Amino acid sequence: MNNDDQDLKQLWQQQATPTVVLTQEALQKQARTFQRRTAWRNGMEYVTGVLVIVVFAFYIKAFPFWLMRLGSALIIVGSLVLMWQMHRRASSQRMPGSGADMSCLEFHRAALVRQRDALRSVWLWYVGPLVPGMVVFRYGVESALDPSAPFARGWIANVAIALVLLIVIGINLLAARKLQRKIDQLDRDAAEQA
Amino acid sequence: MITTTLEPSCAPDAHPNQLYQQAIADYGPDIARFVIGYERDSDRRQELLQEVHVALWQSFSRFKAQCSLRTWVYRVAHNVGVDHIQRSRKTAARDSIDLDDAEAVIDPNADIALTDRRLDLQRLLALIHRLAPLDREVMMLYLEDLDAASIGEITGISARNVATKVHRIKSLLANQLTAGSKQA
Repeated sequence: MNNDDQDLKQLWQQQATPTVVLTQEALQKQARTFQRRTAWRNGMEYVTGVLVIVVFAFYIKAFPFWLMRLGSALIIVGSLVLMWQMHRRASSQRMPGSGADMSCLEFHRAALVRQRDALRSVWLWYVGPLVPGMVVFRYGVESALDPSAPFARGWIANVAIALVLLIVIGINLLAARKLQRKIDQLDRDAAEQA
Repeated sequence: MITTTLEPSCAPDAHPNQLYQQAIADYGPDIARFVIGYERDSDRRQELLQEVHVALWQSFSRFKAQCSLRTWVYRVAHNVGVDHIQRSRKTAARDSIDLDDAEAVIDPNADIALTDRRLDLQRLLALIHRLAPLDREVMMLYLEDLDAASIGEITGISARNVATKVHRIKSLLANQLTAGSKQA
């Protein structure tokens, strides 16, 4: 067994490795590149929010009925709140280099806890800000409908929207539960620490 | 709290650039091997390696001799690795398995044609890449020939659990080797 162990350790330690030599200037440049890439990646998550704002800004101008215009304005406000929340959460992430005063387990656990909490509270910070605007907008659409239109028409749309939102919340809660299992496993690994 | 004796040149008042240079001189190859353990693709490996270097360089402004230079370097490397896995977590979630499943995957009779060391290394890497982050860290630190106490300090896992994990990893590795020697 010991010879086998040593053989595998040698196999691991003697493998060819990639090399990189970075001067201080190159490190600074690379750090800026990584920062820009992170900003771009985070920025891409705002694209949907921007699209929603553009569409509902158009609705404010296009629809004559004041309830629909108010609903559109509230949806825009909701989207801004949502984007601010995304920005706040992305900014609060601890960078790997700043976590070296923690053990790997603590760093990993902190990241999982942060993700779990974000997923668990999706109903509040992701879905919640959009609900008031949606309700007012839908109420405006229903009020502006031709009274001769079938009664079920509006309700089917309302139920479909509510279902989509509930599914979004449900999927995120399931993902949070999966993360919780990983956190529990880490806690078991850390248990009985001397 | 585990305290360690610092090398004189790793004093907390040393300049971050000096600390970075010393870290790379002492542990550069170790970092490169960790990167191999966190990324399969060779192009992405190079990028990840640069990311580790930048994170390490930035980290030394916060180095206050809380731990040894080696512990600090290994933690940064592993934290960047875990962060890398989480960023591509859809793939990682599909691929990562715990030690129970890994034991089930290793079949000593499998891959009879694999005989040379290069293929042994590939099989070893294939196993490492399939492990969950913490098990992966323990395994790589074990392959770096660190003792259980050092692995515990770096990872934060209790000494008892390190011993258990190392024991199971050794069995896994022994199975790998047995499979290799049967084919030779």
